[in-house]
Amino acid sequence: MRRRGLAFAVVAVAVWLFPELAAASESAADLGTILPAWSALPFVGILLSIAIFPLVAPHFWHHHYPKVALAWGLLLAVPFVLVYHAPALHSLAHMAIVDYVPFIILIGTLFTIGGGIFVRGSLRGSPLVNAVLIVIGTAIASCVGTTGAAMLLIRPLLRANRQRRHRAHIVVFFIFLVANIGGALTPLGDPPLFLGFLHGVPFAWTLGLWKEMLFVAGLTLAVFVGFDTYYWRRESPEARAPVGSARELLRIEGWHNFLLLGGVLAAVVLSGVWHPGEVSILGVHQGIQNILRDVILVGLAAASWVTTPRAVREENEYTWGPIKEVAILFAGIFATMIPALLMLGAGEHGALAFLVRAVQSPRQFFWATGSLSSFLDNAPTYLTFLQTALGRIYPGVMEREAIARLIAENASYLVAVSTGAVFMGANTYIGNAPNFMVKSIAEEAGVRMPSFFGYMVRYSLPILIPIFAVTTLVFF
Amino acid sequence: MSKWLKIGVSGNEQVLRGFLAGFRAAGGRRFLGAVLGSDVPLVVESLSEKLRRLLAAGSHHVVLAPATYAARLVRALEREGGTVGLAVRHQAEVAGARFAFRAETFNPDTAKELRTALLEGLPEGLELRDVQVEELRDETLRGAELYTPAHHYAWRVSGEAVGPLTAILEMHRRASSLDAATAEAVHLILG
Repeated sequence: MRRRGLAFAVVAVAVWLFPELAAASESAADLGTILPAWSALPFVGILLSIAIFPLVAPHFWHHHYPKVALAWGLLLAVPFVLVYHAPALHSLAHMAIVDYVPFIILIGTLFTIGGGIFVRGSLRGSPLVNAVLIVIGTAIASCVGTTGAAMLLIRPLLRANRQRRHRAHIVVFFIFLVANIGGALTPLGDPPLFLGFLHGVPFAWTLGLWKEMLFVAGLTLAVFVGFDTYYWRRESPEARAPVGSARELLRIEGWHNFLLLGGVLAAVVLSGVWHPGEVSILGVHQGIQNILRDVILVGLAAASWVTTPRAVREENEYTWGPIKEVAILFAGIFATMIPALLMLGAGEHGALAFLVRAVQSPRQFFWATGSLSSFLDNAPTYLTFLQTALGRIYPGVMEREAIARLIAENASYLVAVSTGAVFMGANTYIGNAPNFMVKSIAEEAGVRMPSFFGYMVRYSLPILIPIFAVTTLVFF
Repeated sequence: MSKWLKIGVSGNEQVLRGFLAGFRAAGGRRFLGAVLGSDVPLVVESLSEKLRRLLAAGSHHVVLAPATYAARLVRALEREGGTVGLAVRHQAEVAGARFAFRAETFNPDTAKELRTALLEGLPEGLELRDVQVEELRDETLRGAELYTPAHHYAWRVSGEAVGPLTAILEMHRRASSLDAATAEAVHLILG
C-alpha cells in the first residue's frame, strides 16, 4: 500500500512538472558545469557497496541490498531534485527511459532465455574437452551474453571434471574467457557494450573488436591448456580414466530458445539500423524503434517462459533472483551515476576536469577503464570513461554526434574503453556480475575456489595482467 | 605411543636420499618408514634450528626414523656418511606430533566425504582436539545470484590432530589429499 502511494506521488510530481521537464533537456546538459565533485559520492558509495559487502558481510548484503541501493539512490535524488528542480528531474527521467528500462529488459530477456537451455550429459574432463567447452562458451558469449553463456556451460564443465582433484583453475579460466573476454564482440555480449549501443555506438562497430578479442582469448586459452595439461598429468588414474559405460551422451534441452536468442539479436540490430521517428515520454525523446525493440524482447522472454518445460529451468536452478538483483542495484547505479556523467561530459568545464586531464591516450584509457572495471561493475565504469573521452575530445558536443565523431576520428579511444571494461572485468570476482555466480555454482559443486585475493595473486595478476600488457603494446 | 628419532644431518639432499634408499635396501622391510623432513611439512621449532637452516642454506636436513632402527641408521650415517659428505649433527627423541586442520565446503556430498575422512576411522592412537563443526542451511539462499552470492548450505570444521608420528603422517596425507581441507604444518612433540 505504501509502495503504491509512493509510486502515485512520483507520477503526480512528474505530470505536474511535465511542461517544465520538456524544456529542461537543454539546461540538464549545463548541470555538468555547476555540479560539485562531491555529488558523485553516492555513485562511488553504491559501487563500493556492491564491491565490498559481498566479501565482508555476504548474509547482510543478501538480505538488505535493496535498502542499501535505495539509500544511495535517495541520497542523490532527493537533494538533486530539491536543488536543481526540472533539469534534475529530466536527467533522472532520461536515465530511466533511455538507459535503465532497456538495459533491464535486455538483461532479463537474455537471462530468461538462457536459463531455458540445459546441456545434459557427461564428458571426461581432459584438457582437450575442457578447452573445447571453454572455446564454445567464449564463442557464444557475444550472442547470449556472458551471464547466459556462463550459466549454460558451467554445470556441464563441472560435471565433466567431477572426478578430478585439481578443478579450481578450470573454473577460473572459465571466468576469464566465458564470463568476460568472450563478451567483447556485440552489445549483447556484455552490459557495458549494450550501454554503449544505447548511447549511439553502432551494433556492428563492436564486431570490429575481433582482433583484440582473439588476441587476448588466444593467449589466455594457450595458458589454460598449459595449466590444465600440467594438472591433468597429476590426477589419479581413476580421474583420468574414460567415462566408459556410465557415459551419458551430450544433448541440449530447450534448444528452441536458441531461436528466441536469434530473435533478440534481430530486434537489437533492427533498433540500431531502423529509425522511424521519436516519441516524447515525460519530456524525454525516445526512438520508436527502441520501444518496439523492448516490446519484442519482453515478448521473446515471455515466449521462452511459456514454452520451456519447468524441469529444464529447475535443472539450471533458475530463479528470478538475479534479475531482481540487477533491477534493484542498477536502479541505484543509474540514478547515482547521473552527476558523474554530467560532470565528465562537461570536460574541462566540469568539477571532474582533473579526471579528464589525467587520462589522455588510448593506452591510459584502456588501463584506467580496466583498473576500475576490475573492482567496480564494468557497465557504469564503461559509461564513465566513455564520457571522459567525449568530454576531453568533444566537450559540449551532443552525445550522439560526439560518439559518431569519436568513432570516425578517434576510434582507438572507444576500442580502449570497450576492451578495458570487458576484458578487465575478469581481474577480480567483483569485476563482472557472472564471476560471482560462477564461483558460487562451482563452490556448491564442491570445488574449492580461491579467495578474493587468492584469485588475484595466483591467477589474474600473473596471467591476465601480462597478457593485457602485451595487448597494450600491440594495439594501443 | 611409538617413539621416533629426529636426526639432523648435514650434506647434500640427493646424497642423503640415496643413502636412505641404500639403508632400506640393505635392511628390507624392517627399515621401512624413515622419511626425509623435506617430504613432510614440518614446523621449524626452535630459533637455533631456524638459524641453522638459514646459514646452512639447503645443506641441513631432518630425517625422521622409527626408534626400532633409528640407532642403527645413526650408526650407519656416522660410520659411512663421511665418505659421501654426510654428518649427523644432532638427534632428539620424538614422542609424537600434532597439526591443525580446517575444511569448508558448500556441497553436502563433499561434507560427507570430509566428515568421513577427518572425523571418522582415525588412525590408531590419534586423537582430535578442539574440534568445531558447523553446519548451516538456509533455503532462502538457494539459487545462483549475480551480485549477492551466499550459499544455502555450508559445512565447516576445524581442529587439531594429536598422536604418534605414524598416525599423524597418515592423517596429514589424508587431509592433504582433500581439495576442501587445509592441513597445517606438523609440529613434532620432542620426548
